[in-house]
Parts: sequence; structure tokens; C-alpha cells
Amino acid sequence: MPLPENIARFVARLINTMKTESADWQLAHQADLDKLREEKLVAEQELKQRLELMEIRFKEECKRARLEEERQTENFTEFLASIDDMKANMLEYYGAMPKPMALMIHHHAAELLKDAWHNPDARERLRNQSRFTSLMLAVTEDLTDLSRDGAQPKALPEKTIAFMQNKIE
Amino acid sequence: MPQSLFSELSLIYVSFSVLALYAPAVLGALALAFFLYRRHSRLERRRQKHARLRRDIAQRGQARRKRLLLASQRGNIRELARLVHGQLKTRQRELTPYQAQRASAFIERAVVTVDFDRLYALHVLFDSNDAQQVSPAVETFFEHTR
Repeated sequence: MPLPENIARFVARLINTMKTESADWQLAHQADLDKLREEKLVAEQELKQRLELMEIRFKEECKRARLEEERQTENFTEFLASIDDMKANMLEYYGAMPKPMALMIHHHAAELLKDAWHNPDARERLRNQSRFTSLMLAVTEDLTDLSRDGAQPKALPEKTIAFMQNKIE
Repeated sequence: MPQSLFSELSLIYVSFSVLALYAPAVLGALALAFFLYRRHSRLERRRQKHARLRRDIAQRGQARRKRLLLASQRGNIRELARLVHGQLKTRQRELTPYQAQRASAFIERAVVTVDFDRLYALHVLFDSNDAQQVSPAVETFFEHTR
């Protein structure tokens, strides 16, 4: 018998044996295989359900995060507007005040606001938030002093300037 | 022709040898990518995607606030720049053309980079020096700001 024919027969026999073995094994473990298939289906269903629930939760979280960012941006815009108002009030009420000084106060407040919101160090952020609040308080006090009856009107916002020169913490 | 047969054969051998050299590396890289992809479950991958989305939302919000702040600061510094430009015009005769041109460029750059402190310093310099002193003072100012 020629050699290639022998090889072909050998290969065919090998395939046949493997097929038979596999069929026998499947028959012997049919129950286990069914059980496994069923468990796989259940697991797939569970995974699908968990993914759906997760998707709903994540969508809600993203929506909340977007709203929170919107709220923060609104607050920030209000702070910026309050700085602009402060500058306008200073120029209006302190007639003798040089404009560059009002611009300097605006710049100082904006820098504090920047650090209060964007500094990567949380402690620094907190410190600058408190300094920003103190500055705005000093400005308000200066403007209130101006409108107080009987008081000697001041040419410059002294408390604000003192705060900027770090005389008041 | 033996010469052309040789070149054809060498071409085949060379290509096969290159393939034999690089194929394991390519297969290895593919296997690694597949392993890294499958290392996390579908739930974990979804969680990571969500964390990425949350981070993007926060970063976009912060970037927007930074832009708003920058716009406000630019508006403020532009007002100072207008004042300093006015001062520069009135003091132009007391400065050399080079100093005047340099001061003008400096004012424009200060607005772009929101360099309020140095622009304010230039304003104080123009404000507090008389006609004879202003040119040396400007010279010293630019020496320090170099």
C-alpha cells in the first residue's frame, strides 16, 4: 500500500475516533452540560439586568454631575459679577479714588477667587475662600461707612487697602 | 535565467524571514492587547467608562469657569491698558522711539498674558516721574522686566 494512502487512512481513523470519543463524552455528561447551559443563560440574564441597572444609575449620576457643574458655574458667574459691581461702586462712591486703584482691587479679588476655586491644594482653596470673603466684607464695610450719617467721608476705601496690604487677615 | 531565479528566490526567502522575525512580535502584541482588554469584566469596563465621563464633565465645567474668569480679568486689565496707553501718548516725546515702541508692545502683551502687576508698575512709573526722569525710569523698568 502506498505511503500517502496509509497517512490518509490514519488521519481519517484519528478524526473518526475523536468524533466518537467526543460524542460519547457528551452523551455521558449530557445532564451536566444542560445544567451548565442553563446556568450560563441565567448568568447572562443577570449580567444584562445588572448592566441595565448600572446604565440607569450612571445616566442619573452624569445628569446630576452636569447639573452640579451648571450650579457651580452659576455661582462663579455671580461672584465675578459681584467683583465687577464692587469696582463700579468704588468708582461711583469714592470720587477722588484713582481708577487704577479700583482696577487693582478688582484684580486682587479676581486672583483670590481664582485660587479659591481652582487651586489644586484643598487647604489653599479653603484659605483663599476665607480671604476672598474677608476682602468682600472689607469692601462692604468701607461702602457702609461712607453712607453712615455724621461720619467724616473718606477719600479712599481704607479697610480694603489695608486688607490688600495684609494688615488685616 | 539563473540570475533572475536567484533574485526571485532571495526575495521570497527574505520576505519569509522578515515575516518569521516580526510575526511573533505582532502576535505577542495582539495577545497582550487582548489580555489587557479581557482582564476587566464588562461591568468593570462600564464602571471605568463612567468614571471617565464624570471626569470629563468636571473638567469641562472647570475649563468654562476658567474662561469666564479670564474674560473678566482681561476686561479689567484692558481698562488699565487704555489708561497706560493714554499716559504713553502724552509722554511719547520724553521717550526714545524705541522705548515708546517697546512700552506699547509691553502693554499689548500684558493684556494677553493678564500681567496686571507689571502693567500697574508701568502706570505708576509714568505717573510718578517727571519729564527728565521718565526715560531712564522706563529704561530701568525694561531692564528689570527682561
